[in-house]
Amino acid sequence: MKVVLQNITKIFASRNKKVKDEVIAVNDFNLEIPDGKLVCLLGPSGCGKSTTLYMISGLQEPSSGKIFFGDDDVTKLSPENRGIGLVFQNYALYPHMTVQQNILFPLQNLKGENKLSKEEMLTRASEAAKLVQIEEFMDRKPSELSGGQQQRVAIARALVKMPRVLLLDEPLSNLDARLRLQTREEIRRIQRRTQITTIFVTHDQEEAMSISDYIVIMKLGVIMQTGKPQWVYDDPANLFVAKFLGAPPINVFTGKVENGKLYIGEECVLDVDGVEDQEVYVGIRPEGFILDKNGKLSTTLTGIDVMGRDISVVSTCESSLNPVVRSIISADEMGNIAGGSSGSSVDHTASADGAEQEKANEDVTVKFNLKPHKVLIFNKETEQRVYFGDQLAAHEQMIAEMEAEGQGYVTHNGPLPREADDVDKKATAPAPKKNIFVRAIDGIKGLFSKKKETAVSADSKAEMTENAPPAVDEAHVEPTAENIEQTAAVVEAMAPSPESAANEPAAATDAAPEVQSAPEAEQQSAPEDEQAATVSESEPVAVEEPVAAEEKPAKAPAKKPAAKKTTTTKKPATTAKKTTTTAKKSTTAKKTTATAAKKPAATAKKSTGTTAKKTTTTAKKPATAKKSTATTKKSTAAKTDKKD
Amino acid sequence: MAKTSTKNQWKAWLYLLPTLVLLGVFTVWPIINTVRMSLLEGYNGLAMIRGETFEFGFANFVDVATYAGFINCLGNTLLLCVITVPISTMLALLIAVALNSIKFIRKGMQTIFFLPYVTNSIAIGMVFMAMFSMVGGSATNAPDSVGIINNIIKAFGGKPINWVNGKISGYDPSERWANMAVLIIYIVWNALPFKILVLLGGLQGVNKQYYDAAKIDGTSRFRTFWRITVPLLSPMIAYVVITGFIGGFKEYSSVVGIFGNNMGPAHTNFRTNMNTMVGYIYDSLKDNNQGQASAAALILFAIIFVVTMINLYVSKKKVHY
Repeated sequence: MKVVLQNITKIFASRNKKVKDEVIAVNDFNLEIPDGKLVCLLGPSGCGKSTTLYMISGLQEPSSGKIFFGDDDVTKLSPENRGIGLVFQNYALYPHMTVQQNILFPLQNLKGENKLSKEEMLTRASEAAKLVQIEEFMDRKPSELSGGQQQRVAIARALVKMPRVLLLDEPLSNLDARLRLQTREEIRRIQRRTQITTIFVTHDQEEAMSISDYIVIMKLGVIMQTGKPQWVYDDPANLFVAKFLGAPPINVFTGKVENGKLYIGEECVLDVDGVEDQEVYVGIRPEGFILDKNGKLSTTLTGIDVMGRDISVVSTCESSLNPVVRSIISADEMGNIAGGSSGSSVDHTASADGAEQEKANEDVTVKFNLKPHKVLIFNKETEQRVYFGDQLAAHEQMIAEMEAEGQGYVTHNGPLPREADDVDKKATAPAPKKNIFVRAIDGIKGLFSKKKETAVSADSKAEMTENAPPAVDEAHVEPTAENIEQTAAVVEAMAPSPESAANEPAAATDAAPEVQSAPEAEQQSAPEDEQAATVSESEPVAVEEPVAAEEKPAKAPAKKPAAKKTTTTKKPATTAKKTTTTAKKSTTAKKTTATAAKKPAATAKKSTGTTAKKTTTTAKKPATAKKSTATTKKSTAAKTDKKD
Repeated sequence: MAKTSTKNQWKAWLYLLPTLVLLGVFTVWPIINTVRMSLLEGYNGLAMIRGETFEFGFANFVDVATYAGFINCLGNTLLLCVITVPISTMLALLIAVALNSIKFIRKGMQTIFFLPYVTNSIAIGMVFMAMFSMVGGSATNAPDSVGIINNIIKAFGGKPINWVNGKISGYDPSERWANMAVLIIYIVWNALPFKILVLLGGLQGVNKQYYDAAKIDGTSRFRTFWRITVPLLSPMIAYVVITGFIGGFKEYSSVVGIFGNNMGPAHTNFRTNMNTMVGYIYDSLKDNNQGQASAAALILFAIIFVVTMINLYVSKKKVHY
C-alpha cells in the first residue's frame, strides 16, 4: 500500500492561551512512500517525526493537508478504519492479558462480516506469533518477558490483523545495545517477508541507515532530504543532513573558494572546478583523509584512537567547527604516524615517549590529502550544498535513479529552518558554560586588561599625534613595552579576520600608517582578547612549538617587518595562550632573539603577544617580558629605522 | 557489639514507652477485656462493682445469637452491605471514568462529588429525614406536611410514601423497604466521594497508550472499559470494595441521622427495626449489658474478618497488580 502525504501541516496551540504562540510541529510535509518498502523518518528529537507517524495512524489529525493510502483519502478516517498496525515506543502491551490474549485482542474487536470464529482467531494469532518467534511464550504475561520479546509481541499484535501499513514509533529505544542490533535485523526480516509498507521512526541514524530502504531526514518539521541511505550519506543536500548522518560525524571546517581552489584556513586543499568564489563550510567525512607527508591540510595531532581494523587520528585545526578533527585511516598505515621518522607524514619535533607523549602530540603536525568525493562543500549563508567536479553529475544520476524507482527525490530548497541559537553560535566558537566564579574572575580580568589598554592607547595616541605628521620615525617613539604590546594587539586583531588581512598589505607598505591605526584597533582588540582567552581555554588550539615559531620568522624576509607580522602573528598569539611554561619559553626565546637582532619585529610581536594575553594571569610575567622587550625594542627600533 | 546493644536497650524501650503505653491502654487492654467480658455469663459492669461474680461460659453468645432483635440487626447490616457496596462502587467507577474523560469542568465536578465526604453524617442524615419526611396522614386522611421527595411524587400524581416516619397506628411491614431504600440511597451517596477519589487517582495513573492502542485496534467503548479500564483499575477497585464492606458492617451513624435514636421509624411500636450490628452493641451497652455487647462485637469482628478474607481471596484471582 502506497502512502502519500500531501502538504501535511500540524500546528499545536500554545498551552498558554494568552500568548498566541503556536508550535509548528510538521510544516508542509510532502512525501510518497512506495508500496512494500521500509521507510525511516529520521531526525533529532522534536523534529516532528513522531507527530507525522501519529497523523498517518490517525491518532492525531493534521491541521491541514491530506493523507492517502493507495488512492483512498484517509485524512478524516478514524484510526480503526485505516487498517494500520502501530507499535508504540514502550509497546503498550496490556499487562493483565497473556501474550496470546494480547495478540487476539485486535481480532476480537472485528465486527460484522469480518468477524472470525474462535479457531480462525487462534490460527491467525499463532501464525503471527510464529512469524516473530514467540510461540513458546503464549501463556505468559508481558511482565514475564524480556524487552526484546515484548517488542516482538507488540509487532505480532500489530501484524495479526494484517494491516495495510505498519507503523513503528522508536521501537528499539528501550532495548540494550546488543538486543537492538538483533531486533532491527528481526524487523527487517519480518518486513521483507510480509511485504507490508512500514514506516519507522527513529533518531538513531545508524539504526535508520542499516535497515531502511529509504530514509527521510527531518528537521523542525521540514523534510531535509529523502533517499536511499547510502545516497543520502554520499550526497547530502545540505549541511544539516551531512552532519546528522555518519558516525563518527563529518568534520566541518570554515573555508573559502577562490579561483576554483578550496581553501581551509590559509591552505589550498583541493581544486574545485566550476564553483564561484564564496565563503563555504567544508565537510570532510572521516574516511576522506589520506595521510601524506606532503599533504595539503595540516592539523595538530592530539591523539590516536586504535579501533582494531581502523585507527582514528584525532587532531585539531583552527578552522574546524568541531572541537577535534577525526579521520579514520586503515590500521595498516599506523606506522606512518607512530613509528617512522622517514616517510612519515607527521612532523616529529618532539620525542614521543612516556609522559611526554601527550605534550609531544600537541606539537605534532599531521598532514592530509583529501579524497575529492568525500569532501562536501556548503554555502556559508544558505548551508546548501555546492557541487563541484564530478559531484553534480553523480547527483543528477542519483535523482534519475530514484525517480526510476518510483521514489520522488525530495529535498528542502528554501532557507533552512534554524533554531534561534543553532548555527550562529557555532560560528563564533562558543565557550562552554562556566560556573559563576570562573565567569566572575574572567570579568575582573577583562576589566583589568581593558583599563590597562585604554590607558596605554591614550598615551600612545598622544605620542602618535605628535609623531604623525612627519614620516614616523620609530626611534622617536619611546620604545616602551606598552607600545609593543599595542602593536601586537593590532596585528592580532587584524590577522584572523580576512577583511583586515586585506587591509594589511596597504598598511604593510610602510610602518607609519599601521602604527597610526593602532589606537582604534586597540579598542577592538580589548574585548577580543577576552574572547580569545576564553576560547583558548575551551578548545585546544593549534599550537606550534615555540622553537618552530621562532624559526619561521627567521626564514621570512627581514625586509618587510609589517608584512611579516600578518603571516606569522597567529602562531605567537596562540603560543601566548599556552600555559606559563610555554610563556617562559617564549620569553626566553625573546631573549635569544633580542641578542640575535636579525628578526626584530617578529620577536617583539611574539613577546608582546604573550604579555598582552596574559595580563592578569601572569602578572609577574609582563614585568620580565617588558624588561627583555624593552631592550629588544631599542635594537628593533634601530633596525626598522635602517630599513626605512 | 552485642554488649553495647544490650546495654543501651533500656533507651530503646524508653523511646517506645509513650506509644506502648497508649496502645496498651487504648487498644490491647480493651480487646482483651472485650474477650473477657464476652466470656463471663451475663456480665454487668454495675453488678461487678457491687461485688457479684460471673460464671465463665458462652451464654452471652448464645443469648445474642438467639435474640430476635440481634437477628434483625444482622439481617439489616448484611442487606445494606450487599446492596450498597456494589452499587456505590459501580457508580463511583462510572463517575470517575466520566470525570477523567472531561477536561472542561472536571475541577468543579470533583469538588461537588467530594462534598459529602467533608460533611457531618448526622447532619446529612437529618437533611435526608427532612427531604423524605411525611407528617400526619393515615389510611384515610391526607398528610399534614410532606418533604420534597413526597412533593415530587405528588407532582407526578403519585401517592406520598411513608419513607421515614412510621404510622401511629402500628408497624406496617410493607414500609420496611421504603425505609431501607432511604438508608441505601443515603449510604451510597455518602460512600461515593472516597471511592471516586481513589478510582480517579488510579485512572490518571493509567498509561494513555493503552487507549491509543485500543483505538487503533478498533475497540468499542464498552469493550475498552471492560477489558482495559476495569482490569487496569482492579487494584483500586479491590481496595474500594474491601474498605466498603468493612465500612458497611460498621454502619450506624446514618441510621441515627435519618431515624433518630430509636433506630427505626418514629411512632411505631416496633421501634428498632432499622437497627444495625453496631447499633445493637450500643443498645446493649446502654442497657448495661456489657457481656452481650462484647459478644456481639466479637461476632461482628468475626463476620468482618471472614468477609475480608473472602474479598482478598477473590481479588487474588481477579486483580492484576
